[in-house]
Amino acid sequence: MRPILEVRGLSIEAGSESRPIPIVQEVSFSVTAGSTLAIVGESGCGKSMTALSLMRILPEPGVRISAGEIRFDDEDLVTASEQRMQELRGNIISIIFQDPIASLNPIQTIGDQIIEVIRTHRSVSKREARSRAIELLRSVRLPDAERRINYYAHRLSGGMCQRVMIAMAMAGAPRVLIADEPTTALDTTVQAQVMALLRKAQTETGTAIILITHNLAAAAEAAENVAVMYAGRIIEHGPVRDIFLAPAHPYTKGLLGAIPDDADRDGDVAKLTEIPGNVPRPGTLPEGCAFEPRCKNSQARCRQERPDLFREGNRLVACFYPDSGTIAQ
Amino acid sequence: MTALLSCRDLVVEYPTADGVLRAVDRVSLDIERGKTFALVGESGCGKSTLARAIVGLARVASGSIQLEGEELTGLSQRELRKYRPAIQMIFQNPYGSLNPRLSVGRIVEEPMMVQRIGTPATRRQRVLDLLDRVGLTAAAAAQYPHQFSGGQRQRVAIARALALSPKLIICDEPVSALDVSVQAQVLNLLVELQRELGISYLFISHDLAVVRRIAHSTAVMYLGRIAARSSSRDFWKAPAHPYVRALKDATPSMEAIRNGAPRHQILEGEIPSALNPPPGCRFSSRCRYATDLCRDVEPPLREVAEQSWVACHLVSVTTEGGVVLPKAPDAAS
Repeated sequence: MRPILEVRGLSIEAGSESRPIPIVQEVSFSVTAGSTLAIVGESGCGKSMTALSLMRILPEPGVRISAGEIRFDDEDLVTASEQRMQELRGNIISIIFQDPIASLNPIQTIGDQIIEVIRTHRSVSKREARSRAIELLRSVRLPDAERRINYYAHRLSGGMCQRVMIAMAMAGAPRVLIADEPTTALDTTVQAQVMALLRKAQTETGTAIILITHNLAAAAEAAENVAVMYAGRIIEHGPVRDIFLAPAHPYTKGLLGAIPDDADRDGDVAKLTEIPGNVPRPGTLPEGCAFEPRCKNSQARCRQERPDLFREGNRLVACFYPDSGTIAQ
Repeated sequence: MTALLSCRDLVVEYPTADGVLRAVDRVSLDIERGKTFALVGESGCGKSTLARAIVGLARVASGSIQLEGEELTGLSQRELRKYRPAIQMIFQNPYGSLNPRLSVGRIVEEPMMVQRIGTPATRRQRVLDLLDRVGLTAAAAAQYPHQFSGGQRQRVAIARALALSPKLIICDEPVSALDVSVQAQVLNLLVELQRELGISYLFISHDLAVVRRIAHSTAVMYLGRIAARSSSRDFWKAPAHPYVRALKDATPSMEAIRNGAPRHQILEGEIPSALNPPPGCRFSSRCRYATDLCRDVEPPLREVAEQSWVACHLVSVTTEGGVVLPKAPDAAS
């Protein structure tokens, strides 16, 4: 199927023009209607900046797109006019953020905020917009929507605020929904509710979802495809099942081993696989492979040369010495 | 052998504008020497308040807390000082819990200064030993918190907690704010320290999966009460309590990928306000098994299997010793 959104060679940098600090480098991925792509990685890997760049809402001028294309249908969003972006934002391409309470305006009722979104993109009366807003709040199962539409955000719990955010993001039946850590700030049982809600919205509207998360298990459950990022680059990319069942990149493997997941575990308190060292900060990357200092497969070549993504079966992996035992399936 | 720390019918209340909020309601637990007791629950369940009560940061309304048989409740701050070295704490946010204006060496030394232990020279040596123990170099002593990553800061917090050779360390979500790859480092360090030094942990977390890897005994709290408690691994594989099961189901896992398991059972609704908890069983307002009995009578915590207690009227024990819930009503699923 033809992708709705296709990102090619996207690079993002910060700092001054003369001495730029690379934040994201040569990232490529695509999503098709009704499917979910998860972009996973740890803090500072560039996943959130990638998300913001798709909406062209990077904290400019400090952070900017320095190369690449974001193809949406036949347009390139990197070069699209600001006016065109305003038509798309919150309408055709929507985003929800990690902290739902901070994402809502504290001095406007949630109803007014949803009505504003609806009326920005469609010429409907206030009355119509209001009944549409109630309909949206019902569809995200906000209990007692008719009454709560008049509430301010502070009277709602985090889970309810995230429902409101989803209702707002879905107001224009967007073709692409970017969900940046949508459940990280929520309680476990509420997380499951919100993820179910996103799935429901996706089934109903055929929206493509780009899920940005640090939680590999959440990615495993929600997405068909996954891109693992490390230090600003995608280091492994492909179908979720293939990659999570048999990770090829040592970093992906390390991350999966570090999850306390005990499905087939018995016996005494056990050690988790740890990845030594820390996530490198932007601007302090080593010469060769960025993961080399923490990697157990590291060899001389890794210190001199940076591995590019290459195809291995139906996945892409950027490593000279991938875990061949697992890849030979 | 008696437990290191025992709480009996502990009640902690906060006055609020809307009345008295009972954050911890008649909770009893025992923490054994050299073992990890985990307290799991969602926000507002009372797990952090319970921890704060144990270290003397929250006022106990009734009930008892005993450290090696000595009663801690009702002691004045002065009297409590004698017991403070025995119970130390590590917090969730390693960015907020270290004074940014003090060097790491001073941060780790401070508990010894407060307790007037050793001379400046012996304390300095102890600081270096502690930093080494948690995997930091001696050079770290002269540096400041902002120069470290989250994981390293948590190591500093652990070194500080170890400074007074505590018997119990209360770890309040110690890895929740850390990156996945670093979480494992910190958890492994805690386990190692326990093996070497015989420390007990009260480990507070919202994540059952993390807890099951490191805890010897686990209790799940809901709205100020313990819903289930067990030190049996089998129990946690298929916890019989409806809330504990829902909590486990809601936690994303790799299981779905491994064996294409069906989607989770979604628990509807949110935790009710502790100002106005439902009568009867606290979970009855969200429980799909709930009967009239559940809505009227609060279920006591009862032993349903070896070392396993649940507070639920509906859990029954089969003749083979299995612990089961009744069949769920179809309408509610």
